[in-house]
Amino acid sequence: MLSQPRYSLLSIALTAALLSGCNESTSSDAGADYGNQDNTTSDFDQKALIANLVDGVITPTFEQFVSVSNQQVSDINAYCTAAIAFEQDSSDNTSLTQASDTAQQSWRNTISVWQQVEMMQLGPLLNDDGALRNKIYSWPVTSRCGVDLDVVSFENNDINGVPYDITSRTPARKGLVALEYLLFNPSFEHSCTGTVTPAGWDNRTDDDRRVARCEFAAEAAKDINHNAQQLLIQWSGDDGYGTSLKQAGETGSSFATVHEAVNKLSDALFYIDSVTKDGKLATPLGLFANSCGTSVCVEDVESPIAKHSIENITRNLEALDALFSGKEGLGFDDYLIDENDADTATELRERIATALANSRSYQTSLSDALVSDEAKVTATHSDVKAVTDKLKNEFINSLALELPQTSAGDND
Amino acid sequence: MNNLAISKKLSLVIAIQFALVSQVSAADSDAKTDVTTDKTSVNDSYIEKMQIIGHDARLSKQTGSATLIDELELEQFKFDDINRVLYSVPGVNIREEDGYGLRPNIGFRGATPERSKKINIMEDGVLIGPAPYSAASAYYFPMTSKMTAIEVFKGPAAIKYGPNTVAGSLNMVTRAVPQSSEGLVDVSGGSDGFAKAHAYYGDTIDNFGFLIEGVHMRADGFKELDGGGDTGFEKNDIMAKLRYDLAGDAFDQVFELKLAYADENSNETYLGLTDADFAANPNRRYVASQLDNMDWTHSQVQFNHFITGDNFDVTTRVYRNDFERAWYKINGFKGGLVNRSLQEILADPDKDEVNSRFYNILTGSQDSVAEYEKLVLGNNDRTYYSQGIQSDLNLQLELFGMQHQFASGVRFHQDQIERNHTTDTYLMTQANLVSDGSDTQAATTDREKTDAWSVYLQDTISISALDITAGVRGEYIDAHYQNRAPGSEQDYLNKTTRIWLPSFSAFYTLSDNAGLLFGVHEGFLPTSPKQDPSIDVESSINYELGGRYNDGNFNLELIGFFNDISNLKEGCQFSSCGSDDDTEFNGGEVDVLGLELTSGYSITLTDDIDLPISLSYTYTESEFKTSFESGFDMWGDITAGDELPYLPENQLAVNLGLVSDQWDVNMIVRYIGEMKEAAGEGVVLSGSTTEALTVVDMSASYDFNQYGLVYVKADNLFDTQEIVSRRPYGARPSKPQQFQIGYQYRF
Repeated sequence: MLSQPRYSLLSIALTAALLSGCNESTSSDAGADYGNQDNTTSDFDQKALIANLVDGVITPTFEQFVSVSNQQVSDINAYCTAAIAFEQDSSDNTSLTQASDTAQQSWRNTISVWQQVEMMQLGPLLNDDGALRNKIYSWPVTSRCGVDLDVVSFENNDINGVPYDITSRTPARKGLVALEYLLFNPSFEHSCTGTVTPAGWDNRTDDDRRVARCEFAAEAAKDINHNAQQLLIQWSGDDGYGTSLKQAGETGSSFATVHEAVNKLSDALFYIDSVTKDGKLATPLGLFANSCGTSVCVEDVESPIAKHSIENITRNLEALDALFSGKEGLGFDDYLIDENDADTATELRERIATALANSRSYQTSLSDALVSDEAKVTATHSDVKAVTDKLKNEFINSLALELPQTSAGDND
Repeated sequence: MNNLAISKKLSLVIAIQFALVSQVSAADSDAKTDVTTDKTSVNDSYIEKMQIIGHDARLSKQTGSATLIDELELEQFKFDDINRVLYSVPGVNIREEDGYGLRPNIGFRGATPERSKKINIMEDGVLIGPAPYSAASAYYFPMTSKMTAIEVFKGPAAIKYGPNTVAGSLNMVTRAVPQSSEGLVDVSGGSDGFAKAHAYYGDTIDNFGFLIEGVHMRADGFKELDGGGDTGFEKNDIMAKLRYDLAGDAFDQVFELKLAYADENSNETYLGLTDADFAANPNRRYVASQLDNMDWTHSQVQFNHFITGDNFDVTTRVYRNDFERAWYKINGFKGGLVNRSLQEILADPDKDEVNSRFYNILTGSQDSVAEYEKLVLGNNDRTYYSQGIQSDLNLQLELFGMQHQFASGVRFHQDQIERNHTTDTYLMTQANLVSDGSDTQAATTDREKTDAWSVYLQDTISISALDITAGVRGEYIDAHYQNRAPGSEQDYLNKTTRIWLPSFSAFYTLSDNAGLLFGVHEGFLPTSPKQDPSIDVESSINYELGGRYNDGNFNLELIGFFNDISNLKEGCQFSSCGSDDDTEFNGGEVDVLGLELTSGYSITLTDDIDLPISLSYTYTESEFKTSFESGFDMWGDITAGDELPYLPENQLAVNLGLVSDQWDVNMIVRYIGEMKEAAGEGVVLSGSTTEALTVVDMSASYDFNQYGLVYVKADNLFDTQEIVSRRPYGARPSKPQQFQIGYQYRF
């Protein structure tokens, strides 16, 4: 028989042991709109969708960008050779003009592919606040004076006593934005308005300035090509981001579910909203604050010197179309159809086609159209908005996707 | 609806209480003889119940780490900042924010200090956070200046004070109604426009006692806003207590009504500085924060009933707290075409042209031009209430030939937060924020509400020199979330959580002066009502082992602790992440272990002069046990072995004094080691640490007897300022040197 103290101790111990067995339990019920739905319900092969978009759409675009940026290096080098020869009076103006035109066309080819890459901002293009993307293309952030200063710094191979290294320079001083300024700017005056100006620039001849700008352009083009290759390396290969997207849901993948990876691809589509619609159209139209206040502002169009803005928008829409349709393979439209929302699939295809047709119909640059035919630009904005409205609502809801933060509100 | 609900619960809790009392009364009746409890002893007993820890100067047999800072200690430095009070308590980790302690961040034993949301904050034994279950972040914090005792409770005894049992409880005790006519007037002024006026008066006439107390405090602020402007604050607090003592043959009872109102208007901001700007002037404030302002009001009604007999007492508290706040403050840039967080910009303003441009706009040296360069100011307008009834029984019994100290309690609690957040958009124009003319936009508009039943049972039995305590706490939490935005009726979540939390502890008395303690209990932190059920509650097994010595003149307590956390849970607030989505994250298994040492000794220098010395030291280490990638800004990509953020390895406070009957001089030297600002890699503050900080505070007073007392104090005597945090946006300073002179008159 137990003694009384032992009895008390035992009862305490038994009570504690018994109660410790009662673990936490939670039960819940949620409304239909609570949180984000984890996934869609159909048996659509989302893995196949990812594989097609990665292998059939994105990777070829990145590879094409490496190719055109490589050609751009050659064409700018050729232009520099012509510029040097012209300065030394060993060639005529025609040769120089041809070389210049070729270099400019090469830039147009490069930016055209890049504008498709812009619509595919994923993984390596987003990391570290888009550092790699900005090195290639920093728009809307530009610094013409910064480019002028770096032309001279590069020439002197000196940055405050340290040899010039373009890889450590800030994005707006290099990349495709700097190239546009270096290749297309008809004026050879520098753009600095403050106290800091490129040393000795005002005392140089235009021919000398052309050579200086071209040589820096060649360095910038080489840097773009290098960064394009870095993009491909970080995207492709066994450890590349594209591979991790395709392996979503598998053990060791950084994506817990396949649908999470699909959502990353969907996020990229919304470039058409926050950048194409708001940045490239609403801003110069004065619907958003711009350099002119809130009136029409030709200064704020993209690629203003090369007058390539509407072409850029067209390339954005073509890339959107490719991502949405999957080109020859599975696309988001197939996913919508599988989710019994063929209407949205059809409407989005039609709206993208309408916007594309509109952008392709421009006979003038966007800058000129803003002055001469503002209604046309407004119509382009409306066409693109028709696409983004559909993306933000039916598309997101039918495919149980999450809207990216930058498109969560309606900025219109 | 709420009042009806609580009325029903009130009836139930009172019924439970009277059932318990009647049982006690029955058990007690045979032994009951003439009861001659005098009024004072009833009040003493009642006052003790308003606190968690008794005022016993002898060896405490408390089976757990418990620290009491009594009125005498609080008077030494006349601190108005809870952070400065708690730095002397072992096992407390603090992340400073505004320098005045307006919105403290307090954690215990490694629990994240963010908005003190992982500890129970109580005033007079009642949960005082705005909505402790529904929105644990303590944006309201009681006025430290009016407190007469501060208690910190860690270890197994925390099981009595839920819902947060992972870390512990902080109980702040307000002034008791005095037994006789008593009053105080305390006025002081100091640097940076600091001024304080504090007064109280109370008396007891026959069985009726009353107290009225008010505090007004203000400062111009020590920060210097670019372009000029007030960075200070004004706080008011008024409290009234009415008490009635009823002595009877069988029982003595106390009835007390407490009414309180407080408000604050402070030009506080979340915006800090770049490290370079901090080095040039740590007290600078960028002009982008010129409209930032916190405005809140708090009201409180509490009714206490205390009944005691020979071997039992029951304390019942009915309470209602209302809190309304609106914090208008910079959220960030509008973004869209170009996006950067304020934290990214201030962490490296020279990174590229984007950061450089945004930095120049924040400082007013460039104007906003593009849409994405506009600044968004959010008005995080929230309304809270917290109400409930709780009843606590203490009973001494002899059962099976052994002495039992039985404690039990039951509480029904309701709280709610309603968010009515809005945003406005501004242009930086000629170094001023100018509205862009757009309409105010609705942001988060929702409601979180919780009904919670809590019970605890605890029994301590004494077997010779060994006191053994076993207990258990139960929580039943019925939580509701509803998005109140138009058309969002189907965005809701109803969630119930039930948990039982056992505890066991023991104290072995080695001698009259020394003893050993051991404890183990289960820790728990609930998730908020709107958190996805996939976010687990935080749970842990907490162990402690230590010893105490106290011979009346010298005391020493050494306690080692080990918190074995099976799932660490953290969440985003503006103060930590710079966003207000309140998203919570699972952190998996984490170990926190440490050592807490406190000691005190008083040297008698002369017949009239003593030299009291005390120290408090805390060593803490922590590590994540698993590797994972997290979206939580304070974690990032965690590798097993990474330490928790904002947890210094070493903290030390040494307090020295010279005390005579008429005057005293006190000095406290405080050291806080450096702290990691992010646990893992891949987030903005990865690799960033706060600087180790040593601060010396001094105070002195001279008592002119019937003419009053004059005191002077210097906070941060040597004016050492370091970065205490880079959250949510940029480097923020500790309080600089501040002098204060004051006069106290007691009557």
